[in-house]
Amino acid sequence: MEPFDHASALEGCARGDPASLRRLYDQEAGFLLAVALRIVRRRDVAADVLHDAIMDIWERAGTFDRSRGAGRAWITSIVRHRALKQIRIVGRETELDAAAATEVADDAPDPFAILATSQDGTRLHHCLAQLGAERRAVILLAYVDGLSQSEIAERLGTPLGTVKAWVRRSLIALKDCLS
Amino acid sequence: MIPSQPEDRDVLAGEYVLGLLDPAAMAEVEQALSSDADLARRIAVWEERLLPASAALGKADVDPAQWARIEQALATRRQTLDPTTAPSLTRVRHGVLRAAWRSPTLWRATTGLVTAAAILLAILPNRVGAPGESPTRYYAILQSRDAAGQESGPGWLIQVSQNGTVQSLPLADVRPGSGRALQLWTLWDQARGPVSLGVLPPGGAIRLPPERLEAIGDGQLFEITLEPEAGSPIGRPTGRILFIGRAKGAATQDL
Repeated sequence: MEPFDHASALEGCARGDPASLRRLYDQEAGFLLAVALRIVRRRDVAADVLHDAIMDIWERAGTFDRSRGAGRAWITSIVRHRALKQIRIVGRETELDAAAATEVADDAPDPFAILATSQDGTRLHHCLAQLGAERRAVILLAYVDGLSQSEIAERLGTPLGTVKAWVRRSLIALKDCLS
Repeated sequence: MIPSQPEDRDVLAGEYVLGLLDPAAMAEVEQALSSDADLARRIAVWEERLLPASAALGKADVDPAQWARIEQALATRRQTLDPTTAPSLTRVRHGVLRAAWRSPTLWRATTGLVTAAAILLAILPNRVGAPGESPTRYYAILQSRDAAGQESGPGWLIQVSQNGTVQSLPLADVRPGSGRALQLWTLWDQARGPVSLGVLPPGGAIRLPPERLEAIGDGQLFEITLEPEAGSPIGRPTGRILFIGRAKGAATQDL
């Protein structure tokens, strides 16, 4: 099967072609929704985030430049930004609703385990594995779950200053390992 | 300050992608991006490096109705952009008023007045759709939501007239309790967060004059939260959501 050409679809959006947006949506809506849902933890809110992110993609497609990076990473960053803004500004309502939060968390897959088996993820898995459990958790809790540094500190029972130092050292180690 | 050392720039770009920067640092990075191509490239590289961790999440089931909502939003946007077909959405006529409406401080200062006005207006209940009123442009049926976040049927009706007047009518019996009040919010923009339309008087009926509104769009979120008696002290919802729903354009045909 031909891999989906995200860059061409985005260039179509930049020309104002709704069919290009539809192709991109058909291909990626489920994935983008999973990314949003993991961060905001509520289906209705995640659907709103997806809606706004798709509108952002449509309006900002003109700024996408295929020479700078992959289209899939670009659209993923847009949905993550929307989801993070949602929980940082509007608040993560699910925190008040422990039952619902657990429900989502319980069937949430562990991305580190899945990375080992995915074709694109083996390298990232290898480099994350070298970080050690706690420093790996810091990166994944931030990137996948959208936790802030203080939320991570609380979750891991670690002082905030230590978390900040871990982030820095983990990023440097990851970059060296992945380059 | 955006650092100059490559390692520091990579860490900053990584923290930006992870979403770990505080709002001030994040704004600084976003501002720098327009002129700092190197930083933009470092960010794009992190986005690609980390992408497999997102991809490992798989796919979630998308509501089949979601695309229709997007299509509608695209159509509305095109209309709004084209001045010849733009609908006569209410705009705030005076810049000062608009600024005041957006200012939480001023809003807090005027809440008492608005509440007083709202109580007066509440004497006119059940006027939804009464003859001689401006036709309805949008309805929003807000669903009641219990403490566990479960929706339990229609609980509130919001009606936005063609002239921009907002009417709010309870469909369920609600008593916020002593020292508490219900506050109505709308979300124009996810990034900006909910904007208060005021504390609802006892009984919940309220009419807001059109100059208090920006353009209302299809799908726009309305919610009512439980707040202290004088309204949220911070200009954002602090209590749980009691009612929530979206605006839906009224059909144009006559009955």
